[in-house]
Amino acid sequence: MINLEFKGNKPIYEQIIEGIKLNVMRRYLKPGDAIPSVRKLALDLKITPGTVAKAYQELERQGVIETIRGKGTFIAEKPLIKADEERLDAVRQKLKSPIMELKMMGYDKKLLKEFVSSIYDEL
Amino acid sequence: MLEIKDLYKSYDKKEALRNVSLTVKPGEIHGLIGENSAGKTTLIKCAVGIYRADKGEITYDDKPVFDNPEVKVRIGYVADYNDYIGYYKVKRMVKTYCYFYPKFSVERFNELNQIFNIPVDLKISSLSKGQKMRLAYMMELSKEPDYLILDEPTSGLDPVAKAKFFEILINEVETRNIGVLISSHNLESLERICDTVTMLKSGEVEKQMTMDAMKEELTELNVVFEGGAPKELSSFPDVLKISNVGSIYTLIVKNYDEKFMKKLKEMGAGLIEPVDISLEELFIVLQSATDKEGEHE
Repeated sequence: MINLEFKGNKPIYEQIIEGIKLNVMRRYLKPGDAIPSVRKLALDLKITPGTVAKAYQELERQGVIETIRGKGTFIAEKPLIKADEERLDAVRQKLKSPIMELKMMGYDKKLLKEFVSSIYDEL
Repeated sequence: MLEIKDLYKSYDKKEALRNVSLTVKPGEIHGLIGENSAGKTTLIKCAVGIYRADKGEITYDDKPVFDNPEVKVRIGYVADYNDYIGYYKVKRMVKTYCYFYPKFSVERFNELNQIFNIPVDLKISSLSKGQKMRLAYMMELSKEPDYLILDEPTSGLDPVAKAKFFEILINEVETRNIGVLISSHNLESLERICDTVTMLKSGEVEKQMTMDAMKEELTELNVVFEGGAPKELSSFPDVLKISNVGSIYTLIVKNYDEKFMKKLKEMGAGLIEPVDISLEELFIVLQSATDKEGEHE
């Protein structure tokens, strides 16, 4: 359900938050769908329960998921994800492959920034 | 709540436990780690009321456990080595348990045996080590305990049984809100289930904290030094371990912060990338670090 990156600067609990939101935006997870309990997800992802709990608390605060005592954790009836966030994610995904191509060719961020600003100015 | 307060225990003249305290709340999984002969099994045997403590208190919801059947029936205990009456068949052992433990649920036992598949017509002496471990786990869970004390419970279990073991355990904690104290050398698994952890060393508590805080004790970094790492790096007191493949260096660092990152950059580090450190790695590095401190004394 979520792929974690154990290297890099993005904390794991943030990756969980993004992972769940992404699944909601893409409608892979729909309102009312049950998601794994804190302990189950920790076991599956091989991380500490505390990390999952932290992510779930934040998701609950943001209104994406809700926990019903004695029943489990579910995607909220009306998950509150900003429309912009959804579109930004789609655009970000589209940018990924050309950027990767440049990186593979051995160019660094500097060239990329030049491209971005010249394209932006043309518009 | 299970509360162990200022516990001391010696065998003859050898002190096995010294001033050990810990608590396990309902719904919590507390991990007990430490090298061989650090005192884990002694602590557990005191905790379930098999050994009498020399000094200190062990209570479950404020009631002492030693010599107290009223408390003991509420505890499930899987020992590191589980001997039942060898010439009994499994089903007779189950009947015996029903007699001793009023809350023992045969239904629950059968339900668990759907998963673990121990033939109930076999004599216990003919079971393998792993089967005996599974049997002990099922028996203790079927007592529907409020607390579960587990001493190296996954030793001898195959990977499939081990996965089932942990799934049942977390399910039990989440649905029945039991408190669990578990000792294990299987740190990869402990990391995934424990809320808090106690590290014992030579009979004393070396560290005790939440699993998340424990993981933050040390930071593993991948650092690129194109011309090789500067020599002075290995003499930094906060750098506990350093190794490299080509110009990619792996450092294990205490108290990692912005300041340290800046220092690395000043020393010529290119890419600096934190990597999630495993409990196992952390344990090994911490143990050898404290051993080294001991040598200096």
